[in-house]
Amino acid sequence: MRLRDYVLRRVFLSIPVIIGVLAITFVLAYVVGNPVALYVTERTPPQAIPGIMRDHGLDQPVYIQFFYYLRDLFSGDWGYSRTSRMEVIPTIQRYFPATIELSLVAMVIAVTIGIPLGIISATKKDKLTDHVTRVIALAGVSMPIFWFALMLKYLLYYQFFVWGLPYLPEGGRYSFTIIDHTPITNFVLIDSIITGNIVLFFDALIHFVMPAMCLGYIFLAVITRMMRSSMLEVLKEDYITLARSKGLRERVVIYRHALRNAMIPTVTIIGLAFGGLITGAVLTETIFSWPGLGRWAVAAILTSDIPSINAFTLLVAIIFVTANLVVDLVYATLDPRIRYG
Amino acid sequence: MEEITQVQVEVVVEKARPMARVLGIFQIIVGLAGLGIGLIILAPVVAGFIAVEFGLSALLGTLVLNTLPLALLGFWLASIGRSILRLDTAAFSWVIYSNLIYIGIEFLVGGIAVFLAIANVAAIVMLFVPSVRSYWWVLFREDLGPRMKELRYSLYLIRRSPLVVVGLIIIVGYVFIALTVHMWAPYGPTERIWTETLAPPSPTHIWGTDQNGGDIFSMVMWATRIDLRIALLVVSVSLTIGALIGAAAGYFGGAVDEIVMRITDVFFAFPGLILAMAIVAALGERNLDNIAIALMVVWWPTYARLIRGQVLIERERLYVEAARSVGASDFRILVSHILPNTIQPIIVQATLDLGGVLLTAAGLSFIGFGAEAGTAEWGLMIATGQTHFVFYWLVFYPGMAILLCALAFNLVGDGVRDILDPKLRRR
Repeated sequence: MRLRDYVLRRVFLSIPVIIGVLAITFVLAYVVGNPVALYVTERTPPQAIPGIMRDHGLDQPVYIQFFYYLRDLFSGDWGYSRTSRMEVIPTIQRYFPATIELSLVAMVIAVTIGIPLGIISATKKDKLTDHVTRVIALAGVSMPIFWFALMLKYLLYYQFFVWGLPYLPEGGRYSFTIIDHTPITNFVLIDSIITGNIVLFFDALIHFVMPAMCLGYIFLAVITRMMRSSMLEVLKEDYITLARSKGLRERVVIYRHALRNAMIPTVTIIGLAFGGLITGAVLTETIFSWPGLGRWAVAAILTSDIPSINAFTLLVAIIFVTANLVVDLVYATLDPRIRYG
Repeated sequence: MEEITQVQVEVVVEKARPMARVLGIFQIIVGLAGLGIGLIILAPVVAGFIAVEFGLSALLGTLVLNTLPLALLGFWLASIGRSILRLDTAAFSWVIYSNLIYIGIEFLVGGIAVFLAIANVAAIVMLFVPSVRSYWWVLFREDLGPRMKELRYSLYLIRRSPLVVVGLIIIVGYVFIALTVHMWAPYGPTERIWTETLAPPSPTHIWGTDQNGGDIFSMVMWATRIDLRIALLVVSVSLTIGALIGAAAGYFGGAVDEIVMRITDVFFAFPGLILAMAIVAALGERNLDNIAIALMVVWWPTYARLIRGQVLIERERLYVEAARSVGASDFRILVSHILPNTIQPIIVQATLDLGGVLLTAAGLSFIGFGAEAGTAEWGLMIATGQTHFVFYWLVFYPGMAILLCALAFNLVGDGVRDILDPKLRRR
């Protein structure tokens, strides 16, 4: 199978998944829950309810309602979010960059630390370094991220003071004292560079430290473990023995021969862990009052704001499916064997 | 009026007395017989099966299925019989009729018990009479020998890896706490001392108290029950569902397989916590049962995938072909030949998932889905502690409890995976 065929097949295969995702979100929002509750307040007279149901097509059979649901989604009418007090799509446009920015920073931290850690742990197997790394990684996998976040916040905001001020800010994207900020792309770091606002840039960077550290740590643990195990697997291969017996230096063997092959599974994990990042973002954003999608979704759920929950779930699923697709394609270009499988 | 009824009752009782007496004595005899048979079977079964150090499942099966109920039933009947003899007034109530039913059951069970007893005696003869034993024992050792050797080797490897041992010890500790917390916890799960709110750790409250005066130590200990129960429930139910669906998909292949795999694809399109959030939100009510339901819905596809993959590999093996060629049915091949051979990765996955479910459930209940406020549950305790954040002990200890528990499951799962992995296993 050639690469192009594989790409086409893979893209084609994700269509039923998207349809299934739409079906699940529809079922959760409009079949399991009570859709009439969306349009009814305490002061709505009971005799008005049939009329409301008729107006919104809720008295139709389920498959026709599903059709209406799809029509609304594709025509850009995702409903009104009570939580943010505006339409869902502008809400997403407003909150999405914050989440993405946080996830990207966390990912950068995790990748730059995690991959070297994994390599070191694998090359020094069963030494002290390896044990320490493994414990760090295992703790990261089994740590409740919200607890880690709260503990960090307790230490760095409530306990450590520098000149009478907390060591790190409590939360948010930048200090509320900064008023000369005009959002352009809604990515604070990029905005501040564009407008040349150096104060904002560093302020935002400091605000990134704790949330990104929390999110990054969980992710780092996953990457380190993956890197370690795939590196160990690769180091047992014959061509490594061959490279060593040729008299190549250990550094060359590891970084030239082993690393490239060991990176393949790690790349996959990086893509797949994106879902985990969004999950983590939901919990982290609530704690650090980060104005992102996660905090919005949690607030929406606590007030049973169905259109917002629905939009969030759908969006996350679509991102996740896309990420998986991209990972698979990258994987296929990196490893030609996949295409013949 | 009352006197008349009183007299009437006494007359009835007088008439019933001899009958009740006979019945009571009869019941005591039957009960003691049942008790005796039960204990007589029980003792050698325990001794015999422990002595030959295999077949713990056989022991449990025998114990649960026949001897223990028999002994208990016997004990119960004997005591009812005694109560009839002592309290004649109760003799003409429903007790007599229900006792007749019990006696019927006793005879029925007794019949089965006699059969099982014969089987057990046969087993004991086979195990301990040297001439009989030497014949089948050889066959048995040949048949089961390699498996026992593997098991013993695995146990040896487990003993040798310190991380697994540590994990196992922690898990056993948690289970022990969950089972015995009612005996030694200083305070009840919902007990509040209103005079000592937000007290820092001290000798009376070693982990401090929360904003309502709940003792954090006791609450964390009580919470092991709820949290472990959720994790076990979710993993076992989703494992069962996933195993059935996945095995069917893998074995029958074709359209079934295609449909099941597309469905699991859809479920995999959501990150676990997000889908669980949406499900709990759709279910409306916020309680622990809904969390459990949501997590089951989220988790079963993992097992379906895993088991399908395993079944696909095993399906092509020679032993399946052999079973089919002697005319075994699909169900039989699947359940008694293929599934036992796929069990190892499933055990590993389930152990790891116990930690994962624990974390996700705690996360959900942290967001605010958990039980009603005031329940002793780790996630909820952290969520309420968050509002009184300066008092670190509200958050620290429940979080440590989650961390340690999840860590233990991960340690054991990881270690066991390495041990069972045929590629890493040394000979």
